[in-house]
Amino acid sequence: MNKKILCTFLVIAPIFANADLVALDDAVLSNATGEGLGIVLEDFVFNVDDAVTTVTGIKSSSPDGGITDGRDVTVDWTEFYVMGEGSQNGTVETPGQIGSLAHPWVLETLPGSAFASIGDDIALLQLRSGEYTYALENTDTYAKWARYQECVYGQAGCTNANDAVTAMESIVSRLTSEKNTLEGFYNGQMVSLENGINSDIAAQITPQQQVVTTEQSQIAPAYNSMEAAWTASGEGVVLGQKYENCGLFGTSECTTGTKGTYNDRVDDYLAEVDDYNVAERELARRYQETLDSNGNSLIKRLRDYESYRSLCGDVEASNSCANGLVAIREGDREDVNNVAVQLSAGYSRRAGLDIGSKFKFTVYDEDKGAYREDFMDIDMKGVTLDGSYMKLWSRDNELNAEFRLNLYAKEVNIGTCGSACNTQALQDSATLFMDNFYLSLSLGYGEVQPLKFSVTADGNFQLELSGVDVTNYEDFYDNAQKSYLYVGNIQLGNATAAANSLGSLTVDGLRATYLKVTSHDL
Amino acid sequence: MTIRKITALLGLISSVSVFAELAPMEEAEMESVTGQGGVYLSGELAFNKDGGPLWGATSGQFDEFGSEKQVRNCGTASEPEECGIRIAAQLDQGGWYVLDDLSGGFAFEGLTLRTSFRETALNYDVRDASGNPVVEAFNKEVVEIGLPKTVSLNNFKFTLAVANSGEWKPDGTVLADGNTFQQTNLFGIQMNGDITLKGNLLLFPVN
Repeated sequence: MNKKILCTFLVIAPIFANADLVALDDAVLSNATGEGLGIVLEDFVFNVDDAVTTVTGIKSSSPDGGITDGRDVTVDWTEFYVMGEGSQNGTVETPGQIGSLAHPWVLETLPGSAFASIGDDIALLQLRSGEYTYALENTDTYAKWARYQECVYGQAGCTNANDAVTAMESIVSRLTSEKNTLEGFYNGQMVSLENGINSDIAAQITPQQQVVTTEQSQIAPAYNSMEAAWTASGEGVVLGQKYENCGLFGTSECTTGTKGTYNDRVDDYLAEVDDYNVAERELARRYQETLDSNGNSLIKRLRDYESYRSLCGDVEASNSCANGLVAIREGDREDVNNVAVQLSAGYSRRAGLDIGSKFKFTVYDEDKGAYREDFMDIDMKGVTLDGSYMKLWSRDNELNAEFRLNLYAKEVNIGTCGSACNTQALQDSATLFMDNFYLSLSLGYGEVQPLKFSVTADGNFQLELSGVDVTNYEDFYDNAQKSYLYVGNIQLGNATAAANSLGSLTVDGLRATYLKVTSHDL
Repeated sequence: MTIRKITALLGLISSVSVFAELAPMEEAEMESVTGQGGVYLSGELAFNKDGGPLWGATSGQFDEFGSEKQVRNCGTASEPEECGIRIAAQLDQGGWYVLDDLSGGFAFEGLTLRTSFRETALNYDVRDASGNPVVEAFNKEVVEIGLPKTVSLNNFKFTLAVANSGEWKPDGTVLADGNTFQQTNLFGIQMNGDITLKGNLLLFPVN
């Protein structure tokens, strides 16, 4: 076999300005550790304009008469732009800033010891986006505020930044009042409530639950015996019904022989079902009638206890309520307040990016027997990405990663209509509008649960998140980043018609304990 | 027999130095002229424009040494097309990530490369009395790559794939480990036309 390599090298020799070499003092040297490379794109504009981009290799499941396994789906990528905010869907060339000198993107190598979840014996490569501590600039904080605000700040009808504070305070006060009501009802003795429930469950519920379980386990064998006897009796009646008229002279055949046996088994089965029902009724009675010294039933106390746990997290003598919904919402308070104060003072947030793509899919429509065209037009406005990172390292010859994407967009609009929608109203009618879109996607947690990309021996792509087990689950649940998705307002069709609003969407605190994705060649 | 040939095209760009009357410079003066040089680049890169030496789109094609090329068609049966470069990487003990059928060309004019001294930076984490980000001292030399404004793409294409062999094999080839050669094409991209790419890419060390 002949091997040839055609290489094109472009060697660039810049000029070196040779100034006088001066010895660096300690202070200067200590500043120049060169741990990372700062990357900034200033006044950036990327636009494919009139260039034609085609995505190939995607097939539909629609057969084409056995020539191949599926028909090609032609994807024309007719629009793709990344530019500054205010570009009007990429039509006005607006320079965008990706990072800045004081807040650059950074590519760096770090020792594993820099992270608690990664072993000290390895080094890792990290790419992270700019970091901001100011509440208004920090994407995570700002998105939190935007989630309560719901509308896009600065747009018509959305000029009072304190609306978010009001919304948050009303949620906090509702939750706090629920908590106070519960504490008041039990005179603040939440630990006694918990103890009382536990002792009642141990004394009354657990023994009865065992009875229920035993009774329940006896039903299936009784049913099987009945069914077997029914088969042996010639299946002369519907299963479960007894033989009533047996023989010419009365009912003797119904008490003897195979029919008699079957009738006995039916009685046995019904008796078992009855026993089970009695046991269940007794269990329900115990929930209702096991009272505490103030006459509160166990079922009421259990419901109140569950509500309290979700509001406060843990039950403890001080009623600190430190880990539940109340604390989570109160934890948002400082961030939301800070952003509201900064916006109300007239301070503005840095401009984000506008990112958009338009695709045309040519898909075979089996019903019509012809190809049809589908469109998708995605426009994101005012995107900021700070707080995102990707860590890569190698362990046992495998590529491991930890990944976090923080993506906030003032608006994400997804249209599905092509050139047929030639007016703004028509385009709006086929568009999904999402305001204050915030996705914080975290995949992997150090070496406890690394994100692994691999290619299997049979040539398929595989992505795996695994590793949480009995030895490390506490670390995982205490420390692994969660994923969030907030959309302040979702609207289908014309943005001005309130009837089209679908409300908001929140996916809170999502964590995957196990995930495995494998491609399969069709 | 394995014949390896490397054809290398070296484009060396050196800048012109201007020799004026030579006079000794003060140290302070010297310091002030650092990073004033720059490079202006225009270029055109083409990969496998006319097909590579390994594969032929149809049977019966010979390379310049008279050996018959393997048949590998990256077009359709009716319109055979030469395949582009294949680059494969194995990141763990399993299979390979493949950048396949990379071919076509791109051209740009006006890529600049220089260093510039940035005295100040906007710190968005600190606000002045009127709420604007404060301007603070930066005083660092940064590498400034001026993007070329327009990049022309001429049938530039590639395919991303995963495979169980780094080398391409005809369908049904049994590999050394007993598996049959399998490649899963994730997707392919083909681009034609002019794209806009503007801005400055700044690179500098951070602590």
